[in-house]
Amino acid sequence: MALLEIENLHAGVDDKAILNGFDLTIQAGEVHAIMGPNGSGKSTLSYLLAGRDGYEAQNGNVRFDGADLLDMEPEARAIAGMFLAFQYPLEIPGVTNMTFLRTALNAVRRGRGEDEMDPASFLRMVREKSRAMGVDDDMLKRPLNVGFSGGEKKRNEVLQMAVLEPRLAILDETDSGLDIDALQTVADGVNAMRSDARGMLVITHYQRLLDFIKPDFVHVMVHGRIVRSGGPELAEELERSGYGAYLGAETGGQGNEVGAAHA
Amino acid sequence: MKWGPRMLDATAHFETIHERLPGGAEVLQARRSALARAEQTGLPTRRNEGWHYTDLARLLKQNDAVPVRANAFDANALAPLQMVFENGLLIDEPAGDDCVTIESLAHALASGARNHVGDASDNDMAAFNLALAQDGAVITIDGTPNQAVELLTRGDENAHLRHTIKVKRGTVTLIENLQANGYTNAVLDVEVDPGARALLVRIQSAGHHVGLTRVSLNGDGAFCAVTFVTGGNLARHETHIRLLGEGARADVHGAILGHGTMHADMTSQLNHEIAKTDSLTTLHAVLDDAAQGVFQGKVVVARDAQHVDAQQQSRAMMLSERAHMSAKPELEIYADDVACAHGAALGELDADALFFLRSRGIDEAAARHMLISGFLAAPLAHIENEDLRACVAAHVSAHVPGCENDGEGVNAELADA
Repeated sequence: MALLEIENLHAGVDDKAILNGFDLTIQAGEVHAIMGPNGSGKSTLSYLLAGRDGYEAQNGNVRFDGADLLDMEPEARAIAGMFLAFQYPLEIPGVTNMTFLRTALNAVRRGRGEDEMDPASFLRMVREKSRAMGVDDDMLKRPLNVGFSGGEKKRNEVLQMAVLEPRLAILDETDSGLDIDALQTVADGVNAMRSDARGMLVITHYQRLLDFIKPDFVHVMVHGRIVRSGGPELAEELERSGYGAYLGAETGGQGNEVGAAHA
Repeated sequence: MKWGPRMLDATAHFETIHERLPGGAEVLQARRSALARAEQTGLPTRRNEGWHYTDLARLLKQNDAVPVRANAFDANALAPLQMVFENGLLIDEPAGDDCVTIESLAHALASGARNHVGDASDNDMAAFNLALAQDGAVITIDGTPNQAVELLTRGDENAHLRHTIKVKRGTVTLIENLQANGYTNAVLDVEVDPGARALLVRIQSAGHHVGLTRVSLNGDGAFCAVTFVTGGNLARHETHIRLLGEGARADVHGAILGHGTMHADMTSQLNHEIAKTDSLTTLHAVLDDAAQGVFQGKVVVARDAQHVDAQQQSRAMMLSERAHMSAKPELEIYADDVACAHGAALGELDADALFFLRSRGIDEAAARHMLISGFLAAPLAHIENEDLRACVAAHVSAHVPGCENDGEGVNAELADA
């Protein structure tokens, strides 16, 4: 059974069609990258998969580990093993990073029918994982993301991923706002989590991130659907030639399809 | 309810109780003139500038209002020196300790001390209070006590309480635990000598409370009040502070956990009468149902009071379309080299933040609780005593508006924080 199976997904915001028959299958152990120009629907896809209000599928199916994902509340998706690393992580005043991590982990564990983690084991585990992400004690004690730099926020996202150990991690433009050192740290954190049991979906505008997180598959997304799929070499090709050809091809392709339907 | 109509007839009430009122002939004379003044002005209405957002006469006539209550706040874990006032009379007088002298107002007046009834010339409600106050606390602090001092008010009857606190040396933590169900008019006069500090934590969980706190900071002393209104149909907490010595520091922080038909008013006036004095006034209001919040903050900086830093901030989180917030920050500055600012913000629960927390597995109720508690963490942080802060955090966490309050996991987390 596939980890994630998206079939003919259609979605829009305010009457504007954003996803137009999107298909994608991810098996456990695979890292997929979706690349596309601005406005191609990448962020809509990630919000829709995570269950954000206002992002509803009009048509199509999404199965996650065999279950109907679109029927699930955001917290149920997290419990089932879905994780979205936000492009713009939210600042939550008055809630320390540590409290947040412990609340989230225990909520997920309860939801999975597991026991809550005792405070001592939790502290040990978080310390170890934070060190790997370059998140120091001070960042754990501070209110969640408040006053964090762009790089700190992204490292903190990957720390949350490491703590929650999801089945599928979606990284939405995780490279945005990062300098090269921060990018390396974040990528190391993500790579350390690659496993046969876990899938990843890396969403990015630029090829740069894929130098650090090597995908197994690369997909080009334009106008809300995948127009081409290939291996890692596709990312390099895009870096050289840009999205221009696909924007044209997609318009032409749609025309042909419409023509064919009329014929 | 008994408090309504009887409150409005102060003279009749005075005639009923005046033989039981403490104090000699001189005090009685002061009471009679205060009563005459009170009767002449009557209870404040919207026409009184300081009461524009809180129509006291109208609010006190609402006899049929559904009581808005929270659980009683319990600070017993701190083992404070506790004075319990029931229906306006002290029922339990603690011994005090090496650096705390505690006496009831009744005893203090019986021994002839006129000054404990204070002054009522500048405030309508203080006039009612002076005329009718039967009891109160008279406390002198000389050194830092090991325990906090708690003034606990309870009962169902009308009550007029008048407390006087003098802090000569050291730091005292005061707890005003307001649990009375009826109408209470309380005046708290605080005098802080140079180098001393008075830290007041006030919790109102029930009733109709009209309180006036008057503070004089005589030198480089400090006063910090943190007030939480978690229950009660009417809360009016008015604070007047005079900063009279260089290096004086005043903090007035409030939090309103508004629900039902609660009307909670935080009014303050800070007079920076001398240079190099600082103040910070904040309000965090969370308003659900038909709750009403009021922030009236005034800062006055005298002509030669240079290098004053005075900040005011009112923030409200609106959880219901029927809730209402009024904010009137005010600066009156006569000096020219000061750093003063004020601001008022009003918003809703952040839907993006809610989604962020839910996407990490935290259910909607717990996520709401976490965000609203987080908003209320700022006033909690101003409570210096850690044990007391944990007590108040637990009480606040159990009464976060707009939540089922069954997220006990989150409650424990907040109490740790």
